[in-house]
Amino acid sequence: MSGFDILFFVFAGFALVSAMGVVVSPNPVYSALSLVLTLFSVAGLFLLLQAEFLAVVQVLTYAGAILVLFVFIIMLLNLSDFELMEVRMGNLGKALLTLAAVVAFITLAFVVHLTRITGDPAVEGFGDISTLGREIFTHYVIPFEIAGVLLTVSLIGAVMLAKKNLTKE
Amino acid sequence: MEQLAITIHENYLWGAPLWAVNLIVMFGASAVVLMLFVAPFAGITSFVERRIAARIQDRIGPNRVGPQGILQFLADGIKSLMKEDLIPTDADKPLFILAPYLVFLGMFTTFVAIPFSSKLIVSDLNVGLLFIFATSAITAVGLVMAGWGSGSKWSMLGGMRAAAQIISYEIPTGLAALCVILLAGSLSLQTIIAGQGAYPWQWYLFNNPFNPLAFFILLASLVAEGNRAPFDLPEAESELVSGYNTEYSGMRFLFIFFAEWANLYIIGALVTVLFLGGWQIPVGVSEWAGGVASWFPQVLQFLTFFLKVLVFVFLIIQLRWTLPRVRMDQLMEICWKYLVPVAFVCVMGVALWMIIWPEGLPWMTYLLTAVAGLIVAYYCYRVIWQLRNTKATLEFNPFV
Amino acid sequence: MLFNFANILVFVLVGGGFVGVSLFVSRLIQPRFPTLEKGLIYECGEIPVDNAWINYNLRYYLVAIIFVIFDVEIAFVYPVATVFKNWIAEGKGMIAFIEIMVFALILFVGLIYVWKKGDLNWFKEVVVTEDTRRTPEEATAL
Repeated sequence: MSGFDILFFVFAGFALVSAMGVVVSPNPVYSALSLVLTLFSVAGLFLLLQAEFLAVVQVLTYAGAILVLFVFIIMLLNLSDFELMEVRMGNLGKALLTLAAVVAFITLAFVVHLTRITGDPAVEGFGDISTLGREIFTHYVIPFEIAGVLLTVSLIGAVMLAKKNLTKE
Repeated sequence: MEQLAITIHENYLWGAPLWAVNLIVMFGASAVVLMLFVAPFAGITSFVERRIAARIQDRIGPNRVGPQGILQFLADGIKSLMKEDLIPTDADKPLFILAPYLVFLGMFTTFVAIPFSSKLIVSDLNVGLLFIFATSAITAVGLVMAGWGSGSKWSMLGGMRAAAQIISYEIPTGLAALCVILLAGSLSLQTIIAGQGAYPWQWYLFNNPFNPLAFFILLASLVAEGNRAPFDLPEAESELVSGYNTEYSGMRFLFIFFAEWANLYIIGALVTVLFLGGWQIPVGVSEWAGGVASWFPQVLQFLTFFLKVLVFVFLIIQLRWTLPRVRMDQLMEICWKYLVPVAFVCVMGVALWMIIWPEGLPWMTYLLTAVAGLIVAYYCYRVIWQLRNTKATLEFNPFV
Repeated sequence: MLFNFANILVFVLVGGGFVGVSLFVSRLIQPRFPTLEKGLIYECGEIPVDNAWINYNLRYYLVAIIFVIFDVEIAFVYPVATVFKNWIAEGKGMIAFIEIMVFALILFVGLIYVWKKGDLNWFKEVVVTEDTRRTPEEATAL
C-alpha cells in the first residue's frame, strides 16, 4: 500500500464518518459542521486526483459560503423548534426503517458497482488552472454563460423567497 | 522547499528515502515559520501597536518589561499561560474548545503560500491566491463557532457580525485581486511577483489608472476581513463588550488575538505581492550581492519584502487609532454599494486597457508614480509634523 | 505538486499541535478553583437570562445568499482570467473580453436588481401594525 492509498483511505474514512455525523447529530449546528468536514475530506480526495483548483474552490465556497449560510439559516429558525422534531416511533417502525435503509444501501452499492462511467477522458493537465480556463474559453463557452444566467436566477429567486417570508411576518 | 528536500536527499542523507526527507523538511519548515517568524512577529506587533496607540492618545504605553517594554509580549504570554481556563457552564463545550484551533489554523496555513524571497517560500502553490482566500474562510468558520459556542449574547452577536463581514468583504477582495490576475496570468504568488520589477513604475500598482483604485479596494476590504478598525464591529468594545471572544480567557483568548496580529502580516504581504512588486530588488543590486555570497540576494529580497509589509502594518495600526468605527449598516453599504461595483468597473477597465495597450502606456505609468510619490511625501510630512508638534508633556515632572 | 499540498497538511498538524500543547501546558500550571459564579456567562454582572440561541434577523441570510452567488462567480472567472493574457497575445483579446464581460454583466444585473429592490439596505422600512409605545401614564407608572 502506497502513501497515496493511505491518504485516500484517511480522507475517504473522514468523509464517511462526518457524513454520518450530518445525519445523526441532533444539533443542527453540529450537522452543518460535519458537512463542512465531509467537504474538506472530499477536497482532499480532489487533491489526490491532482485537481488542485477544484479542491481549493471546494474549501472556499463550502467552508466559507455554505457553512455561514447554513448557520444563518439555523439562526433564522428557532433552535427550540428543532428540539420538537424528535421522531416518535415504536420499535417495530424503527426496525423496519433500518431494514429499508440497509436494502437501499445495498441496492445503491450494486448500482454504483455495475455502472461503467463513460465519456471523454479528461484533458491533459485538467487540474491545472490555466488548462481549465482554456477549456472554458474554447469548448464550454455556452455552458459558462448559461451558468451565469443560472446564478443570477438563483440569486433573484432566493431573495424573493426570503422577502416573501419577511412580509408574512 | 521541495528543492531543499531534494538537495538534502542527494548530498547529505543519501541513506534515507526521499519521502522521509520531504517529511522532515516539511515539519522543519513549518516549525521554523511558526516559532521563528509568526510567533515573534505577532508578539512584537502587539507591543508596537500598544505603543503607537499610546503615542496617538497621548499616553505612555507599556514600558516596564525589558528595554522600552519590548518584552511585554513575553510577559503577557506567560501571564496568559498561568490564567485559569474558564469555560462557561452554559457554553457549547466542543465548539468552544475547537474555535481557537480553527481561528489559529486559518491564519497559520496561509503562510504555506506566502513568499519570503525568490527562493524562500514553503511551497509555491499554483492556486496560491485562491488558497489564501480559502484559509480566510476557515477563520470565518472559527469565529462563528466561537460566537455560537460561547452561549453568550455578546459572543453570538459578534460571531454573526464577523461572519457577515468576512464573507461580504471577500467579494471586493476577490474582484480587486482579479485586476492583477488579468495582468499576471497566474494565481501563483511567485509568478505574480516575477511579472513586476523592483522600481515603482514597474509595479502592477501603476500599470494603469484602474489599479490604484483596485489597490485601495483590496487594502480596505482586507482590513475589514481582518476585523480591524475602522471595521472592527464584531469586537466593538463599546457595544458588544468584546464580541466573539467575550467568554474566552487565558490561552484560548491569546490564540484568537495571536491570529489577529499575525493576520496583519498577511494583509501587508498580500498587498505587497499583488501590487508592490513583492521581493523584487534591482538587477544591479542583485548581481552585486550575488558576488558577495550566494545567499546574500535572498536576504536583501527578504528585507525588501519585509519592509514593504511593515509599512502596511504601521498604516493599519495607525488607521485603527485614528478613524472612528463605522456602523453595521454603513459597513454593509460600503461593501455592496461602493466597493463591489467600483471593483467590477476596475476589472473591466483593466481588461480593456490590456487589449488597447498590451505593452502598457509608459507616460501614464510615470504620471501615476509621480502622483503617488507626492501623496506619500505629503503623508510623511504630516506624520512628522504631528510627531514634532504634539509631543506629550507631563504636567507634573518630579525630575525637574 | 502533491508535495506542496502535503505541506498544508503538515502545517495544519504543526499549528494544531502548537495550540494543543500550549493549552495542555497551561492546564498543568494554572490554578483551578471553579465556582458557580465563574461558570456564569458574562451579562454585565447580571444573572444571565435565557440562552443566546435565539431567532436572528433575516438580513444576515440575505447577505450570505448574495455572497454565495458572487463567490461562485469569482471561482468561475479566476481560471478564465489566468489565460486572458495569452488570448491577447494570440490576437483574440476582444472575443475573450466579451466572453468574460457577458458572464460578469449577467451577474451584475442580478446585483442591480437586488439593489433596486432594496435588499442591500441593512435597515428596512418596517410597517408598525400596532402601536407598542408606552402611553404617558404607563411611562410614569414605571
